Amino acid sequence: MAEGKTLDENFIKRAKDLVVSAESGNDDDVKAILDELITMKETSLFQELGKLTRDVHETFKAFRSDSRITDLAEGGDIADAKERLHYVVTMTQQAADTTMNQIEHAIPLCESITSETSELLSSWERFTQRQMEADEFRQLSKTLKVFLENANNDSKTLMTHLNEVMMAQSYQDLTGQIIYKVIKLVEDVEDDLINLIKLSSKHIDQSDVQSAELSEADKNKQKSSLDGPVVPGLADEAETLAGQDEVDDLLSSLGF
Amino acid sequence: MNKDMKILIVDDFSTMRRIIKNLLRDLGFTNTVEADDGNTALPILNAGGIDFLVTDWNMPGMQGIDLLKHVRADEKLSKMPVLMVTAEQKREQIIEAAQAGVNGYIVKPFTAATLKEKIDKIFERIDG
Repeated sequence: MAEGKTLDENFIKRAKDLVVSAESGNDDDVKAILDELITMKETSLFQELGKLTRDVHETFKAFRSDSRITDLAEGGDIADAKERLHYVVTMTQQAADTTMNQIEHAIPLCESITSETSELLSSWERFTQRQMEADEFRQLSKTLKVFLENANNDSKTLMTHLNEVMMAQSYQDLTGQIIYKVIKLVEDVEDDLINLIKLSSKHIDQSDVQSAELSEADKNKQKSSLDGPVVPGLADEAETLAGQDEVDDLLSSLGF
Repeated sequence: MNKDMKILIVDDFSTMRRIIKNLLRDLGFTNTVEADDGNTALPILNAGGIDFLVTDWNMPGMQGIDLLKHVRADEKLSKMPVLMVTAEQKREQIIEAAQAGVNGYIVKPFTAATLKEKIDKIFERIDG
């Protein structure tokens, strides 16, 4: 900085000399001072270029030394995130399929109940208005019994379908947990990129280096956090249990 | 097993709380209250009257495992049966929950039958 200022002062002084020489008609001096000024300008241009080269170099160095960036490229965090999101698509697809299947089974039951009750209602109407013969009433009585039995069974079946639909909604919790994990990764990458930009800018100071170290600590903390729902292909198979049966076995081996 | 017992359901996802609440209602338990993490669950527990705690593990704020430890450390609550319903299924976590004194452990996704089985088992031990 100080060097640049001296240069500027020097430059202004010589430029003033140039004006004086030009006004007094001293051609030799004008030529000499002009050459001198051009050399000064070129020198500062080279200095700027040198600084720019250093900045580029520092940026690459920072890229190489930021382990998080290397991890992203080599460790596969982004690949993992893609795997997680694919699994979210699969789970939401399965939940939607289950829901639609259950609904498609339930609708015909509702339709038959509606049509049977319509017929029974009109017969019942005629009976209450005493427009029904005894034989026809005996028939209605039988139809009514069959209907009530069917309706009783159908409502139980409907309940089963509705329960299946309800259980399918658990995807919202499980995919939500997976998506939160991916959001956390995106935030970490964003923080690291901001750190990197700070590091590679020309004002490298201690505080930036410290914040880069902090993000390393955060990363370690994140590693020890909870795993959430098992994503096929990403779980640590040696340490992760396959399901409720294995959990029950482990607990019973612990005296449960 | 007393069907009128008051059950606290703790999960950060409201869909899961509703699912558990509906399954419990199917099993005859209609007296339920809800909380979305350990921090909101504790005041409800401290207010008294809760007979059974069903909790998730991974929640923002206070996690289920810490809630369980709080319950076991509190003289007034320490005997309360606690069922954990969670997506966490690493060996070390299940061992941690067992050591913290959990009464039952269900991994998500689960079925209505699993919930019934675990609740039956917990109260068979307590009543027996």
